[in-house]
Amino acid sequence: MLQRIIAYIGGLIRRRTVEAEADDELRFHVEMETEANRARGLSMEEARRVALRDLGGLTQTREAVRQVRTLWTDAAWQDLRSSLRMLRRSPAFSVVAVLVLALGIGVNTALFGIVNAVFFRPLPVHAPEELVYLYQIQANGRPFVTSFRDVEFFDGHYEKAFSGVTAHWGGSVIFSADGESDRTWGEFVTASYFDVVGVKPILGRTFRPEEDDVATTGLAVVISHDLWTRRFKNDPAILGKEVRLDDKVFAVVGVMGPQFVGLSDPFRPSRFWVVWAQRDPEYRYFGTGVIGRLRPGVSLDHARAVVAVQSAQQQRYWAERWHYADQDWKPRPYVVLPASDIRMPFEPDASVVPARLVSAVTIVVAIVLLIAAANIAGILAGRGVARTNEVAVRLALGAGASRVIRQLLTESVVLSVAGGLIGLFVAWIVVALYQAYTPSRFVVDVPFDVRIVLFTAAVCVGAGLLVGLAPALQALKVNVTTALGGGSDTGATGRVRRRLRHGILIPQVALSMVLLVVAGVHVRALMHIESADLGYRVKDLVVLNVGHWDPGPSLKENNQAARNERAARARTFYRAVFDRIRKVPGADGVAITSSLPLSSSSSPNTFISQDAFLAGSTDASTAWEAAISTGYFQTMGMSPKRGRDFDDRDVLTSPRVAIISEAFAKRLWPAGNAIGKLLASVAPGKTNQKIEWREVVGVVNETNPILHDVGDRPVVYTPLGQSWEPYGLNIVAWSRSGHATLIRQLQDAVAGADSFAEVRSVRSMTQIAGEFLYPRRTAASLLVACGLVGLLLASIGLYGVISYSVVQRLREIGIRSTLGADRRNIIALVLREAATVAAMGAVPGVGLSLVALRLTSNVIGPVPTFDVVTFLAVPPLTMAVILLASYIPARRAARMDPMAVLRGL
Amino acid sequence: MSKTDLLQGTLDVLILKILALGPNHGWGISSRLRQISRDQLSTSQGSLYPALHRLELRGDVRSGMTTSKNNRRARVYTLTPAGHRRLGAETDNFEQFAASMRRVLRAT
Repeated sequence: MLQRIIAYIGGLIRRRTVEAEADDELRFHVEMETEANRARGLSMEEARRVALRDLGGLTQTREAVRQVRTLWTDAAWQDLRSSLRMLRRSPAFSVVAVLVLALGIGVNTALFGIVNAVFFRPLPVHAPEELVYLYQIQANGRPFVTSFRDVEFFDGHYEKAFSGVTAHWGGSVIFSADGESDRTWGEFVTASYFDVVGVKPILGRTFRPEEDDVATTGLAVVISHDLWTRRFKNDPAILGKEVRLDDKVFAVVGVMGPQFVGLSDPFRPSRFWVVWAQRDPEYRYFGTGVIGRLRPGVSLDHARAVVAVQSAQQQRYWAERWHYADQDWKPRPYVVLPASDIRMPFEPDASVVPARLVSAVTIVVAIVLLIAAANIAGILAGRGVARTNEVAVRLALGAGASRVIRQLLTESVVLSVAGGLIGLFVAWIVVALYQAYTPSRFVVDVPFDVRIVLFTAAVCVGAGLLVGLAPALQALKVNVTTALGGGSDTGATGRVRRRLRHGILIPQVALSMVLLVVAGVHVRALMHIESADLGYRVKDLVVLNVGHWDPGPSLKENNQAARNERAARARTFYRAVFDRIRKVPGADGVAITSSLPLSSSSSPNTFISQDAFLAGSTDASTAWEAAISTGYFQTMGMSPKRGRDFDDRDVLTSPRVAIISEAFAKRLWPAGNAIGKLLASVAPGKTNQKIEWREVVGVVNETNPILHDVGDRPVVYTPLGQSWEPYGLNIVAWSRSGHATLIRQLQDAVAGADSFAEVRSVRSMTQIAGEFLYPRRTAASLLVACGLVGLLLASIGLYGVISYSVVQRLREIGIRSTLGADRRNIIALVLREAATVAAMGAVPGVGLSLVALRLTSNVIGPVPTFDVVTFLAVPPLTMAVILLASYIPARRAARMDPMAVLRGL
Repeated sequence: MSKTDLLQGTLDVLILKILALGPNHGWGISSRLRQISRDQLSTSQGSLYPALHRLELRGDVRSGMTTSKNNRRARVYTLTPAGHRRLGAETDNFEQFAASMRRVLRAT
């Protein structure tokens, strides 16, 4: 064995010598045999000829010997070099093929990476299969989070099953550092969190057990890698930096690695972690999510059994001890679920849409890849046919069929590897675009991990082999004589070839049409949404969320005096802020509101008109409530329809008033004027409630929700001046001259209003709207991108295949030319084929589009099933592009000199 | 009797046997084979050389370039100990095979 290896290596090194020696050996044989033949009486030439004949041909034998001596890798290396030479010789083809592959593979890889990062990445922790969440089944049978009391119990009693138990809860704080504040999402945890979850920081430390103790003074926060990069620009001196979370000052003690974004739902990565005890001394009364790590070797079922038994015991014990067991009381069981199954730990019940979204995305991307693959197959098949001569000669010279196949396959694999490498680059660009254009709330780090690379490699090689195989087989099957004799499009072989061409082209046309139609419909729907009149101003409007840190009585003091005091503070704060911002010079309109028209978080109240109430009806209508300052409608660009706006008359001591939206006015008082009528909000079903009537003093236009599928939005506006305890204040302001100075002036105004005042977030209305539209916008852009890519690929494919079809039909064209066909006829001849393909592709294309629309509208959002404009525009557009793509080879065919063509054959 | 074509495996054995009679070059092996078998066995000479190289890679023969009389360069092959062993084993196999065939064909 060793000898063989040495022989091989020796052969590689001394290759020239080895070849020369082999030649010598054979030459010696021929000479000896020639001599023997001469001795038998043949002439010199005869002798030599017979010798060569008996040997079986010098070239063949040499080749046979070389085959024996050649290593597998030697042959592969040869194939590689000749492939590269071949591809270099036809640069247009190579470049096009590589680009096609790069596009298909790149887009695919990028989307795979993003989807993987958002939804499917296994938790980047140590032994993720050991992590579980514990929930308690509630009275309604659904799992829900448990309480801290339970956590302490778990921690103490479950060592048999768990090696560690910790707790976490998600929440947002106002994260302030270096003068900037932003609402940031993170997790509140117990000190053992990072150890149980099994992840280490890249800088600094995580929490120490003593930090669970409320009495610790040094407040510590661990931040995410993303926050460190975005907010602190990878500052190496981050450890020890002081930041403020809400009203407390914390020191940054650690930074996590880029992979770990906490255990929260996929669209809200955690950006900081804080020990609960340090955030709120009263934390132990709260509910929390429980995370456990199974002891290595302990199965999930065993852990479940342990939990079931012990928790039932414990609950019964508590029930007895605290005497709260009544007849109906039953211990509420716990459920232990593997962490990898739960994508949204705080809502274990939530049906997460990803499955459908992912399948939709996969289908779209697969279509693009299919088109690309068909494209390449077409191009290679075309080339295979064009190189039939070469292959035929090779076969005649004695190259084994397998060798020829290997060579052709090597070419396609080389193409796909090149395409894959460039595709990775394309993917990187796509991911960068995604991260640049995604609202920061949603963006996730998309690491280029090994899986993506492997996936790309597999797709590459697979595509290469698959796509190269068909033309390779086809090339071999071709009869040598017919190949060398050229061919036309008629006759048996011509029909087969034509069917092959059509088989490759028609699906491409159909699929790209599907992509374009779906894209077109969704884009138009989106444009419709974006351009819809919302009833208020969106452009140039800024929104500042302000609040103040009440140094007065804490929230826990619940007596009336404390409540009064807090309310009074809130009222003073509001007045101070409002007075100051009204004086800001840069604003063309400024006001305060308790809720924004786009906000979906508030829930509506029910209202009843006094007439209905007095008539004994319990019919109440729902509407959203918003407390606003004077100047709100003017700032928001809304138009009062009747009556008046709120003004300084409306204070706490004056009669209660309200302004309502038009549709609501019509609903409550269909007969006529709502002005002067009374209404009140009621809690449905409650009897004996104190009803506070408000007089309608104005009617204003409707505000439409941004996504039409939500229904209309009736609103009842009340003046903030009459509000008992104004809270959740949003300053809205607009300026003709843009944001920057306006924002600064407003921030200064707020700061001066109260020493505890704070601007919590600054956003523009367009940003907020963007967050709502984000899923639809992403989907639409994705579809458009894929549609365009698909069309581009189909056109390229068509161009390539039509070109080669022209080459195939060279003789036929030449003859026709000679027989009197002029240029126009030739062009028409070629275009006819293209048009047939396009038409044959359009029919299934339109059909499939309808199906695809149905599928995608379920996932992305409702769209009109038959958007006439799109269906009318896309097929002709596609056909036009396709005809254009085939026009170029058609013209080239027409320009050929028929005599040269005929002579050449 | 027509010249019988040789299968690849049998060719190997014959080469080994001829080399056992003494080191030789390719042409010599071919003419010796023709001579010994009274011209009954012939090999397409083209398959001789690949067979020789294959045997060398397997380690059954060794070769070296020499300069013959007339100053021609020729590759001469010799049997290695492994080749000897292989020859013995293959000869036994063939004898067994031939005996079985004979028994079957002569059965009544």
